[in-house]
Amino acid sequence: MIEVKNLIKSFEGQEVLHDVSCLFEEGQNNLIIGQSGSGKTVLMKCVIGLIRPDSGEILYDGRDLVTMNGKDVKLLRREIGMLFQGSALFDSMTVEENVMFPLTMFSDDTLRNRVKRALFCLDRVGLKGAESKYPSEISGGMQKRVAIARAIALNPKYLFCDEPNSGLDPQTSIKIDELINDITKEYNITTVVNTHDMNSVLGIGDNIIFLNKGHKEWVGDKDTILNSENKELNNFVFASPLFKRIKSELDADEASLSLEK
Amino acid sequence: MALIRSIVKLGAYILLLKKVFAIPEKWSVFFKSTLNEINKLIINSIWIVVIISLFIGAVITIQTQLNMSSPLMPRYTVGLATRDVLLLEFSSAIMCLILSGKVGSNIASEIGTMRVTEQIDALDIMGVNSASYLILPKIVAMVIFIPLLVILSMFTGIMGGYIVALFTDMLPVSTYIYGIQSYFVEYYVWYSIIKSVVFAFIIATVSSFYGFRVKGGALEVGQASTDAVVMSSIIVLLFDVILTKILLQ
Repeated sequence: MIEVKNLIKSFEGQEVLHDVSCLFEEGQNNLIIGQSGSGKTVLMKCVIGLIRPDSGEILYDGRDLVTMNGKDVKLLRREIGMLFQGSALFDSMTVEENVMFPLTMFSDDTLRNRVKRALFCLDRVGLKGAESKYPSEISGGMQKRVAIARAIALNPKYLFCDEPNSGLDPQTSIKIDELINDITKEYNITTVVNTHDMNSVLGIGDNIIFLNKGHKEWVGDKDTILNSENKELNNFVFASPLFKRIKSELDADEASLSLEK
Repeated sequence: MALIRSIVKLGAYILLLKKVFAIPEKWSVFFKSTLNEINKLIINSIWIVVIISLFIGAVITIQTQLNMSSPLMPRYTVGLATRDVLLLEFSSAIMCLILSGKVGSNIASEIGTMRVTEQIDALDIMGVNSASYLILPKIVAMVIFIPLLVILSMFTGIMGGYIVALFTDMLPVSTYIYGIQSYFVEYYVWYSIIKSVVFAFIIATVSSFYGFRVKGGALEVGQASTDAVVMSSIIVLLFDVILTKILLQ
């Protein structure tokens, strides 16, 4: 479980995160949603320690990342897996070497066991047979899968995904969501996903935090998001023509039901 | 304002070096990375060092011969001048300037691309000291092997002059060989090697620094690559003056 308390972050005098507090639950997909510029990337970068907040606490199962010394931060990071927006695979390494990299750096296991673990992770994400390819030789969806395999190689307790669906077609996007969901439930990981993809929100959103202009505007889940009374959230959720249509159909159904009554 | 910016940049460079000089997370990975860097930065530069040194050695010999109009000057001076120009300046300073273009842009663009594609962030998130993991092997490879390239440059440069003597009638081969053996000062070789170690360190660290602090996209990576070459060349020339004053006075 990760607890964020009263997080404030400014850049050049402009406050980007205003006193944000939220809870990322264990074994759940915790989604941070919001428009571009709402502060969700800054929030995620603060939580993983890439940006230092001006004030506030970030508690990883009670351990405060903000006040932690460098050595403890390093140890904590070995419990973290991260899926970057652009996958961030190492170009000079093969798929297998990419997945093996965290094991090579931090595990004292034999080469044979490391290879075995890497192949297991690749198999888990459905990429058996692609181990000798380079990142430039595989598709964007496959790159995301490799990045997920690399992220889970060290059995992380926390998994962060920054825009996991960006640049993917809807079908591949759903597969990546399903994979993230399966891994979260299977290994009881605290997963934090930064997204503005509504399919992901409705597909895997166990715990959803909506950010608006740096403020935490709404907290809920995939079952309650469509019925929210929050105006800003509704503007965000029903921005696309598809969701506008769903909303109008839902409203029409409700109206006919009330008439029947 | 420019002065403050320069001081801030110098501070950031020193802080980066502090991060770079850390004990490697795993020695086996460090040695493997260093071997890769030797292959990429040094072995791949041998051909350019050989070609440039051979031609410049030949040109120095021809020009010295053509410009020696005084009958009082012994003809072996051509070989002597070729050797000393190569030993004192060309093979260390000029060759390192050329390498700062080839190797420096390679380092800055490689690290810069890793930065903008979040590969460096990925290393940091994993708990790897990204600065040390990426830059230290480059520094070690450059500092150890650039002096060997400099020695190779001295040898091929002198061979360039020898080829001129052998295939033209400008001066006899025996005179050229006598010239390159005359008044030989061993210290000049050491002077050149010391300079090249300093230059190698400057090229590796300055280029890495510019690559490491890239923000943006492809355009910024290109800009960082150019800045890295320009700045490392200027610093190499500055240190050339300083070291010449210190070591030859």
